[in-house]
Amino acid sequence: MSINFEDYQELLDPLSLALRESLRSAWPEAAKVFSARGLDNYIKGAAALHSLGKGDSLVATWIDHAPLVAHEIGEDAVPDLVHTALGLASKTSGTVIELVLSTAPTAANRLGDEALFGAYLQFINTLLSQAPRGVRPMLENLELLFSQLTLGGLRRWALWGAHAHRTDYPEQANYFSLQSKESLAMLQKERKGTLFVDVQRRINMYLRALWARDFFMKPTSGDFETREGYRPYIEGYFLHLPDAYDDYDAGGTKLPGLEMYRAAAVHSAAHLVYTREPISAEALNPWQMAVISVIEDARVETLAVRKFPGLKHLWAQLHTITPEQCVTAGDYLNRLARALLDDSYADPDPWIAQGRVLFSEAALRLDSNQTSWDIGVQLAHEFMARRIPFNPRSDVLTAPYRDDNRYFWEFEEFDFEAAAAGYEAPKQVRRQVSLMEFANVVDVETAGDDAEEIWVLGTELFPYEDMGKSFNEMEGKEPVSQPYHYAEWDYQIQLERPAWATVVEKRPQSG
Amino acid sequence: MSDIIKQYKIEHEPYYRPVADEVELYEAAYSVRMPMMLKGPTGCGKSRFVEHMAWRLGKPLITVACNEDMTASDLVGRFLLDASGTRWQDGPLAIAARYGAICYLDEVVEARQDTTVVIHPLTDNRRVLPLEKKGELVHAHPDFQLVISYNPGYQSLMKDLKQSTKQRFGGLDFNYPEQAVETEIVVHETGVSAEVAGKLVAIAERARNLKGHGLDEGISTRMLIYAGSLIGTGVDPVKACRVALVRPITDDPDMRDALDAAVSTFF
Repeated sequence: MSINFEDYQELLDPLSLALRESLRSAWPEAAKVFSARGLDNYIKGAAALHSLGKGDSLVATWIDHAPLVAHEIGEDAVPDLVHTALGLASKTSGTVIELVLSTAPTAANRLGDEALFGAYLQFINTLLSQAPRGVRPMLENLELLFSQLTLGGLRRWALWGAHAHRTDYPEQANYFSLQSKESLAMLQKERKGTLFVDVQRRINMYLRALWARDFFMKPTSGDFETREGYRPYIEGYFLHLPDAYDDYDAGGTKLPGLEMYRAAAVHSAAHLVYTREPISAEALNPWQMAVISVIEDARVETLAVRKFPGLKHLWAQLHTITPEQCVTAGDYLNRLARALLDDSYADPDPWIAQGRVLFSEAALRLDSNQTSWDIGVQLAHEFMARRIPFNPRSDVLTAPYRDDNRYFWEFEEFDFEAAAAGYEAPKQVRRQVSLMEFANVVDVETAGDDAEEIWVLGTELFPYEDMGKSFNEMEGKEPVSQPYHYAEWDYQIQLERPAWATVVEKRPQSG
Repeated sequence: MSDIIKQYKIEHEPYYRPVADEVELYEAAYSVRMPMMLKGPTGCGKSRFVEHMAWRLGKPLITVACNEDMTASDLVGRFLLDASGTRWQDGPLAIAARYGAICYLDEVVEARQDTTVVIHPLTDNRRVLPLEKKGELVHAHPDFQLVISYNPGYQSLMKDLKQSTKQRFGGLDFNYPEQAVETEIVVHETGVSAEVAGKLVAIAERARNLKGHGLDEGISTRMLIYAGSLIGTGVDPVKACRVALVRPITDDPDMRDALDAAVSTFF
């Protein structure tokens, strides 16, 4: 479907001449970034903002900035943006909404992901209710803030200010415009070493150089409440990496965030390259899965190191566990992980030594992850004799670059649709038949409305003892359609109720 | 053979490692004096190949590095002033045609298109070079052959050969050799161990993966030889790679960083 500017005359008419002109001049640019549906949203957004009655400059800001947002993170973010702007209308002034719109491209650029942008808009909403006077100065400094903070960091910084100066408006304004000392101190505290957006291009090139193919990467913002953030993970062919890494203190030497990104990205990429088949999680207990995970990690890392020997050093420096840590099952997992990667690491434990031997014996069979399964199950079994309990929550791998391995586990999930298939009631069939066919079969007198077949005769059928009344007139019922359910807007709760209204079709009475 | 042409004779065998059947094909082309065009990225061995073939065939080689300011008279020759009046000075193309050398126009697309037209009469069945200013028609020596090279990678619309020029040549495609061959070349040229050479070649492959994704051209065999030579003198391999491989090839800080990181996965 193609969209013409003129098609929207109805929506455009209420706009002032100047706005219509600027929309017209922005149109060719917008058509480059928006699809037909996106253009539709774009125009309707302008009309909706105009209907708020907060002045032309708000609409003009929308016209200028919405395509930039779409350019940065895709047009699907644009409806979110206009909904947020409309939602803010009851809480704040037009100037602030205008600021939200005009800084949206900056935020989109720094966040680089639609989901994160959505979270950002939500955060603006929250902040407006907690520190209404802080939003404006914060947005004015947004570029500076985003150059140093992740979304989680920004949120913590802002909410701290909102709580600290809940009623003290001048102080609130000071805090959010970065004038007060504590504001800068908080900023310093929340600031992260290396932000994903700043190094994404480098990492991309690095991975491409190594494997001559592209990997798709997305930032995740897991550091909302704590600074730690999510582990990296792989899902749907995307490498999800934390949106920032602090420099890592690896036993005295500082490892810059960029190196952390490299270690994490190249480890995940190694999974994508070398783990081609999932490992079935059927019949495995959590402890066995944890051990197999460690072996599988070691397997892909060994294969990668064979090709790129320098990776061993990059990864090994991020393993800091020592033989002295021997309390929990997690300690042993981490020691095993380190032992399998780092030859120079000495570990006296017989279980670890056994793991090393098994793994090195399998050196020629590393192509298949069945090897990981075999070694993992055997080692898991050996460990049982120690009677050290395993807790899947706390006994996790500590090497920060490793992903959570959700990528290669295959769970046989219960498929509700497949399960229901055998029990589903047969569909009712309606057939047009001839009179002879109709007359030759025996009527099932007990059949109700749920009969398997309904036969339809083109003409009315009269009984043999013709009294001038057809069968239909004597015992027929009006056919009734299946009920249709529609959603309906409940204005009292201001929510849409799904499948609320029911419509049943009937034949109209004659006459 | 006259003194003028003697200086162009190649005395010692230039090292060249054949990759496919290019030597036989070139010899066949020379036997019928077909003009040849060598295409391929920079630093993959085009010029070395011509030197090697000239040595192999025992013919002198006259190389002209083409550039934008080159005029037709830079190729064919011009009148010069001296104490006794004017004197004709043959250009490299005229010398080659007169005395029977292989004339190699390196990076021929760098010269302006109208300049390259002067080679047309020499590259078809006429095999003559008209020196209009002098009023002489030089019939090419039976040994004369014309070879041109260019890099299709960075040719722009402005810098391409005319069809009328292109169609006078037989073409040979050159590319970076495959891993084992390239390793062999690096070992031979620099004297580093096969292990180090293998790593250098692997690094080059990493950069070649990025061609078209931020790099205009991959790391060439020539650069690997530079890097290998530095390592041979005792320079730390990572530093040698930085100097000889990464810094020259890109000015983009992100790219530089990614390549440096790729180097460190090998050393």
